[in-house]
Amino acid sequence: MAVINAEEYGQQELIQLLKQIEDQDIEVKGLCGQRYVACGWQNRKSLTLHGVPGNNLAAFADGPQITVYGNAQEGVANTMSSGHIQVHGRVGDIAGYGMRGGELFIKDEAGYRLGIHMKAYRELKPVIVVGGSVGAFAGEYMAGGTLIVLGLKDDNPLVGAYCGTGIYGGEIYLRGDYPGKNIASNIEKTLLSERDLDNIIDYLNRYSIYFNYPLEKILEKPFTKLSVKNVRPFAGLYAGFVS
Amino acid sequence: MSLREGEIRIPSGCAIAGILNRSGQSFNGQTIISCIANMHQRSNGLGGGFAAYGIYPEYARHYALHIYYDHEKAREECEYHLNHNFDIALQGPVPVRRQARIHHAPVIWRYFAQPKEGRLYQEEIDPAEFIFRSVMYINSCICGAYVASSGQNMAAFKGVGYPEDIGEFFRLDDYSAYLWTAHGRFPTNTPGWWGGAHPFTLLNWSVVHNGEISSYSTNRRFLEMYGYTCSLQTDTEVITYAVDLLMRRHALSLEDTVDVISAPMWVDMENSQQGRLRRTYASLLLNGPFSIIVATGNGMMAINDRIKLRPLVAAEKGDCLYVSSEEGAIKVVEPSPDRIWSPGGGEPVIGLLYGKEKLIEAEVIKAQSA
Repeated sequence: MAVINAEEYGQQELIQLLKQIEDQDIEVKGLCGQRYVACGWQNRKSLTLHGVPGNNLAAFADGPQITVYGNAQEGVANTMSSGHIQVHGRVGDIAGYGMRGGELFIKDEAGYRLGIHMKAYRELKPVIVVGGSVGAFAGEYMAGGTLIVLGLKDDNPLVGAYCGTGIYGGEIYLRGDYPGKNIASNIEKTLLSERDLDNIIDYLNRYSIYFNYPLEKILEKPFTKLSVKNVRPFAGLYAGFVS
Repeated sequence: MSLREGEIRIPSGCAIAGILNRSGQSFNGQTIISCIANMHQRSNGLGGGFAAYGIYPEYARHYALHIYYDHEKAREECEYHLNHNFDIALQGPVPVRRQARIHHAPVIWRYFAQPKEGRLYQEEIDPAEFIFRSVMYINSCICGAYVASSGQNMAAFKGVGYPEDIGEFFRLDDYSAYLWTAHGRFPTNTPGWWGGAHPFTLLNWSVVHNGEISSYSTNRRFLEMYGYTCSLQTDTEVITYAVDLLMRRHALSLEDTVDVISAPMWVDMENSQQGRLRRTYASLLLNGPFSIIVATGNGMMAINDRIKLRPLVAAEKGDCLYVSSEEGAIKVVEPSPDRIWSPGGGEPVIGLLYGKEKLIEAEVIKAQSA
């Protein structure tokens, strides 16, 4: 295993160095805002990061297995195709932007615009699990994949305003019997009890293992599933004006 | 001769940072330099700047006028104006450390001044209003002269270059302040020049900004009616003047000011006061993506546009409040904050010195000539 101290390198140097290392396991210490770590990586290397990795961690990545012991900044898993990311902390805005596949587990909160434009294709199904609450615009224009928000940490509303605006595919799961607040109009709400959780129980279980949080406590509350009411939400939007 | 702002378009982000010690304890400028340098990649070397509060305790009551001159003739003309209107306790060039990465610097002078009693009497205005009018006059009527800052016990140090180089150029390691803000510039649409670097200041106000104010022309036209002249060719200038108009001249509270500049959507409004403010000051709504830090001698406020189109992170440790575009920039100077969070859109992070309740003690103008 290669161990690197990020403080010893410049931004560009660090990114080049990480790319050249042939070891399967890489550990990076002392990160503080360095951007583009594992950006565009097409491999299944295992990367352990300490500190605060900068913007666009694992953007466009296809395969890497990343664990962050700390918080991450904006754009984690931006347009990621496949791979696995665990963040033992919080993340900034636009995490999982346009994500096409892979998994992103976040222990605490996520910022604005989580998982916007997420999409799925055949076996590629992106999944994001957030332990805390998330900012506004979560799942906006979502076309596929799964977004799970647990709200384990604080009293904030689970999601900020405009959750799921323009959604036309995929599912959002919110822990608890979530009221209508902040939810876009084109969304169908279904309340799920423990036995209806087949689709997500594996993710919940893994959240509990990764972050050492009892599964029973996660399952203490039911889940609210948000899905698309109408697959063509805007089909009638301009109909009155056209003909 | 390089092209000035307004003569070329460069489509492109920025970095902002602020550190306040609420107990008023001063700390060295090196801290804020490390903070903003951590976000080097957010700027492109075409602008960097700092605002520092509490740096001139020996002249705390004087207005510290920092003025940039393109040429000596501008200095002569400006000093003629200053000598006519002000009692100047001390004047001289701002000390700089020449270095290769900073070039084409203007002539940079500072004056510790008080408006002449006789002039205040003639104009029938208070000292702050007098300074405001002088700054507008110098910026718009004296060719080649620009006021970098005009507050008490504070200054702005700004120019063209990466912020860490600008900090070194201005010898910020020689200064101590209880509140620092900083900016790294990536000019949008324009090339960047010394007068157009952030922070933008007026009296004790300073503003650093990441984003783009698409309502600039609307805001400018409204402010012009109140005597503000936008002469620095950058959208951020209107933010400084807007907060000055709202909080100093119209004595709005901080909360009301926030409801004007980053008004909630009509459907999200919680009370009729917000609606009234939105209608009265419709032209001061700042539209477009932004994160800004507004500072005065009393403290600072950081705020985003209402749908948070720019990043902003805040942290606390003991008496200190940190705000920044990126978390890494805070952690580089404070590795283990007590609390760290991302404020929502239009949700201000306010830090005031202990014992202060407002960013500014308002001085309402009694009569305003047309």
